Amino acid sequence: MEDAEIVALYWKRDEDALTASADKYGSYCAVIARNILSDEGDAEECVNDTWLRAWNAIPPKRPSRLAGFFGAITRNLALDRLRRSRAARAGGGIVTVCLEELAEAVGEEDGTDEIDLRDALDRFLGTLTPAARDIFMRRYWAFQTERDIARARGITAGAVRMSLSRTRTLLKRYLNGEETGK
Amino acid sequence: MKANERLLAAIGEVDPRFAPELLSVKKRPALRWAYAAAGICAVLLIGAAAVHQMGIVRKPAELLTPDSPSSGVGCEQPGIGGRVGVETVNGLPLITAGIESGGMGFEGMMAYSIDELENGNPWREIPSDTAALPVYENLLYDELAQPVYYDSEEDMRRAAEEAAENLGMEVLSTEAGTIGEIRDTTLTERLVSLTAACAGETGSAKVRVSRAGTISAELTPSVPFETAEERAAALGILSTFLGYRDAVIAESGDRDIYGEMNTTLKVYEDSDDPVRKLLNYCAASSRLARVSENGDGTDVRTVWKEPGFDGLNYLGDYPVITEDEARAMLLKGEYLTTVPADTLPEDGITEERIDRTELVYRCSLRDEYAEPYYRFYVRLREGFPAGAVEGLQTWGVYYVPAVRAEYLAEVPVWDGRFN
Repeated sequence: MEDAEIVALYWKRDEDALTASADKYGSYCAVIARNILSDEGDAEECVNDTWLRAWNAIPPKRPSRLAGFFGAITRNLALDRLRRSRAARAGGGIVTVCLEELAEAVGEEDGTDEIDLRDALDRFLGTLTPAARDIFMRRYWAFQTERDIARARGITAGAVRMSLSRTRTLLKRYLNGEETGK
Repeated sequence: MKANERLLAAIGEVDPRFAPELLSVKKRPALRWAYAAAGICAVLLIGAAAVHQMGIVRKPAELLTPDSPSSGVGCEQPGIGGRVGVETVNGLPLITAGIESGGMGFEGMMAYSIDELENGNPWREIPSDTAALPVYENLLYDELAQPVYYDSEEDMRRAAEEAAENLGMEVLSTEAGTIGEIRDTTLTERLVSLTAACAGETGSAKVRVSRAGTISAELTPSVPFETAEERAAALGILSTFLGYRDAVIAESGDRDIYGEMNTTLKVYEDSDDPVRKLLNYCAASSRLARVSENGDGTDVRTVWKEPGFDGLNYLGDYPVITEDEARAMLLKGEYLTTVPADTLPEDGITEERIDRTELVYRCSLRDEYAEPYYRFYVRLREGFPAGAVEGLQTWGVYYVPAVRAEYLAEVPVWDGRFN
């Protein structure tokens, strides 16, 4: 089923929208949830909660690309669950590593300026090559390990590491108001 | 919320069109061979500072090793670790070459003469016309700095019991070692080691099993290790613990800026196969530590045994370049190093400054592959470092990958920056 058809089901308040979403994007969202949470049950609950969140968000929203829309919901649900977790799960390690890496670009101090990060990120991502953007998003949006990214893209973990390092440097410059290049 | 946390949250809100495809496998792009440049750093490298965790660790019984019937030196059916989407050249998976810097510093050695840096490396026993050498994937390598060889405390307990038995002792008690980790304001304990108090008729030992696979034994009383007879007797005792039939000692060392010699004792299994002997020296050796509380002790107090080939998965025999070809690459500036460029004279690396060459396998937890490198000792400029006693000379270490370039997907470039 095409994304537009699934969105139309949501707008019609047809509960088949939930089944269609789970059929088409359940595995996709599960990858993200499992990257963040080591507990399979927690990950499954996050994926199931994703459809309910989507049900409450559509309408009024009309997402054009459901993979990103659902994936972002799952990501936020999993991160919330990780933060609330009494016992930090092993899967929390990758989030911690990602935070440390991103500190290279923005530091750890509380930000005081009013930069609209999301808009800035959208613009920044638009300047990257497709490969660099994909690697960056796999890492910091979907929390994949370097090895998983390497396998998915058919490159080496070292190449992933270098790409991420370069992109973080570009992001730092971009957020500091410098020019960035492809 | 901290700035990095805010950034991570914002990444989750970016335009959905940027979301990656997570369920498909892409093909490898065209090969690229990048040359490394000399780095800029400050002080001598003091070992690897961090280690990595591996998400997928296979049991030793499932590993492909040179001893297994289906793999090894000269084997025609390399194992590629169950990976999919990995491009091969002539049936061999592409690999990378690179140096992971483990801390602030560079790899250099000080001595009064190059002869003092003799280290017992048996690589000269390999015929100079050897066309291919084995390469392994490091199964313990991962980026999260938490290498896992033993899955559970029970596995570690069994390893400790086996080690004690090999020393002729019994485990009297054990204690799990954990480190606290604060994640999201919650303190949790992560198992990192198990220490066993052991005793037998000949003495006692403190056996420590690390999660990453290292087993050490601190022996009481210590074992005399000065004369040839004492060394032979000690190796007889330790070989059962190490699992060696025919142990070889390799002693190496270098000096500090005050001229004091610091030596390292390695023990490895001898082999009639010179390649296997080099692999044993580099990848499967054990370390001995002398008694240190009384200064320069002559007794061995502690012995460390690493996972060796249990942590490596054989990929295949890779075509390699010759020593002369590697030397030519070094002189052209095609090398990997952590040595700062400003420690060389103005004319850089010249033939007369290359005082020593050897073939090594880099096999630390920070190396993704156990693969051969030519390792060159290049004499740095006189007077470096400042403050060293007169007459001391420093040699910087430079690596040239021995595997032919067409089998290397990429060589990360050291850009001289420290984060």
